[in-house]
Amino acid sequence: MPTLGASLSDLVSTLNQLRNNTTDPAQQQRLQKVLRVLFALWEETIHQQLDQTAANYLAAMKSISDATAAAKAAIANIQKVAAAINAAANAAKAVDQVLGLFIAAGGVLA
Amino acid sequence: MFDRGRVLNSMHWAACVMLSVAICGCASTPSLTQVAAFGDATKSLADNSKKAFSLIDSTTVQRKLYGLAIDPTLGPTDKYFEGLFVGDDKGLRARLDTLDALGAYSAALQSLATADFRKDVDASATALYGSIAGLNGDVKKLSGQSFVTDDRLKLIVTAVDAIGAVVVESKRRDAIKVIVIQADDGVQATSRLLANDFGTNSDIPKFVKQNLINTDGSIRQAYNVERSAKNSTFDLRLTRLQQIQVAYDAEQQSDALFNSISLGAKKVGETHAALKQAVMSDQFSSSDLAVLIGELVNYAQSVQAFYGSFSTNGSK
Repeated sequence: MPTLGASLSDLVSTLNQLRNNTTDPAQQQRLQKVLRVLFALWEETIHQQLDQTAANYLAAMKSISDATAAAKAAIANIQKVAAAINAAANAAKAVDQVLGLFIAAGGVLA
Repeated sequence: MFDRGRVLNSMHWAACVMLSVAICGCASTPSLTQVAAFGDATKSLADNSKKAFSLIDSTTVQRKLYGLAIDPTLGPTDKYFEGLFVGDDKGLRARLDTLDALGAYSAALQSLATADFRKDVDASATALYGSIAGLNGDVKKLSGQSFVTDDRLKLIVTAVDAIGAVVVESKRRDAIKVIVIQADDGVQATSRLLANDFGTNSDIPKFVKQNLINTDGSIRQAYNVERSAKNSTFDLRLTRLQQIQVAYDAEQQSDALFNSISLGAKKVGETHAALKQAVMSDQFSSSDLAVLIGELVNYAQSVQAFYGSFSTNGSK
């Protein structure tokens, strides 16, 4: 059995075709009056259909959003590899700065 | 007793081993180009699907306004300027938010696949060499001899750089594998829902097409009213006919546009499923995946092309 939406769709299609293929403006006007009402009913039907499936979209969205957050966290985590090497470089620099002060003070290593 | 020479020899040997492992690891690492291409094409389709939802509203308002203009017994009220979705519509909001999420996921996946982590590792290894070389120089000033030769230092830093590169690539692939597997259920569901929303049996594409046909009909009705008027001229009639032609062309393209988006959505699902299969086997590219991604890119481009030529405002 066809749905209400399908029936409205077929009826609108038929009347639209009739209106577009008649050259009598009075007849076109009469058809348009009916079409205006049918379109309003069809809009309401589509609204209901879209509302009914909204929850399905939201459920799908959750798993995708979680994966996106994981991807961003992974990028930050991978960047830590370079940061770890940088930390070693900074540590060597810090030691070197201390040695620099020692050298400036005239110190020598035994 | 601390034997500096023995320690440095051990480090030298260890660095050679690690360098060899790093080079062998890199040689068997598959390409991530296909993952990046998938991300790009999917984001494009997500953006175009959002445009398709806005087309529902714009064609609805256009139909109403043209219908208002053709009927001098009617006057404008708010409802003539309202599309199908009024206010914060629940059904539309869920779809747009999901498309945003799909677009963000695709972009994040693409970033993860293409990020140049190696550049950061290289820069850090260079900085490490500089710091230790400086320290080495100061130790030599103080004690009369450096604690590592420059050649050995270069070898150690090269090993650190190579190991860093292997580590980041290994982490990258592990991350992509986990994320693709995690996202797949959501991507499959979204793919099915979108393919259904824009499919040939759905009301949405039919509604948009009938909006366009009705707008066309209002222009034809205007032509029929005006053609027998005293001030009717060839030029005025021709202008109207050209408007009808533009409207007619738009309604003819409407089905193909939604069909492309629907098929593109299905292709996103198929491609992501293939990507999941590939990463589960620790393969990040395959010939099947390449074919699917190629088709997905084609769908994304054809939808873009349709939007470029699609005109619903009565003028090209």
